[in-house]
Amino acid sequence: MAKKIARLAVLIALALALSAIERLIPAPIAVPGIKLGLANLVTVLALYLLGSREALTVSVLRVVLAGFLFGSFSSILYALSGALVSFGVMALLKRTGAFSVVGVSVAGGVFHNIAQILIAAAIVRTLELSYYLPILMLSGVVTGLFIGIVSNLMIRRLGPIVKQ
Amino acid sequence: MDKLREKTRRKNDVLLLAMLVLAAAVMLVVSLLTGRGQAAQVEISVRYSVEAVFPYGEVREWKWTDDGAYVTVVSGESGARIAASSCSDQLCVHQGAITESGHSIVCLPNRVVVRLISDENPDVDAMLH
Repeated sequence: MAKKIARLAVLIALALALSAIERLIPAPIAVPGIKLGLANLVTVLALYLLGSREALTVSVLRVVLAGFLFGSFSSILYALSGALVSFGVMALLKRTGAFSVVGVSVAGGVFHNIAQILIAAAIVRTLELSYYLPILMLSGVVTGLFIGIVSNLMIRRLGPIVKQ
Repeated sequence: MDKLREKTRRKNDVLLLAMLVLAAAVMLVVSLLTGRGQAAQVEISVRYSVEAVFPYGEVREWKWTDDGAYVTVVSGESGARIAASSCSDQLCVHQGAITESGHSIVCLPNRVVVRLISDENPDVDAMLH
């Protein structure tokens, strides 16, 4: 049990570090919570190394903690919607067994952004925000690819160790 | 057996990727084609109700304050932008100026939306006084 908690904690800490680094890169678009989404790496790792329940835990906790540390209360709402949808899509795709880590990661990245824009658009009741969808979908794909490739490498090496 | 599964997965990955990129491209093309004409007016809404509408291109400064929160919109020939805001993330300020009809700047924490609209397509979303 302690081992489990320790593992989750390490992943969450990694996610927070990635979030912190990410914030150094300015977002060209004024939609809150739109970042590269590097911290999703942690969700993917948890999903493949530990399991969906653990992945969900890590995902929610790192969003809430990052919100307390770096953002505002309302930013947590937006980030959470993106993270939850992203997790849901990834868990679903992983279960079908039809995609590799990279594919799952790409889908996660894209839907993370889509969800965030839609929530923001719903809150300000401005459909105009959907104008950003193409760009953010593409950025989701790119980040997803990057995370997927890195995750793949890490899972191969960490997998045997985690199983112990 | 594993190699085959690996291969199928790779193939599905590529298909997924292609579909997503295609969807994004289609959306981009659609949004470009339904270009709404020249920006004619600047419309500023606060919390879902339109607070100000003025001709695009005119040099204007518009301020909103409410119990400590504030947003300053500056508009001129080079576009409309949020010059200052009380929000913590300052994304709206960093975005810079918008110059085309249909584009908007949103300050989500303060619920302020700066939109450029054209005469050709009076937007159904807009609330008219």
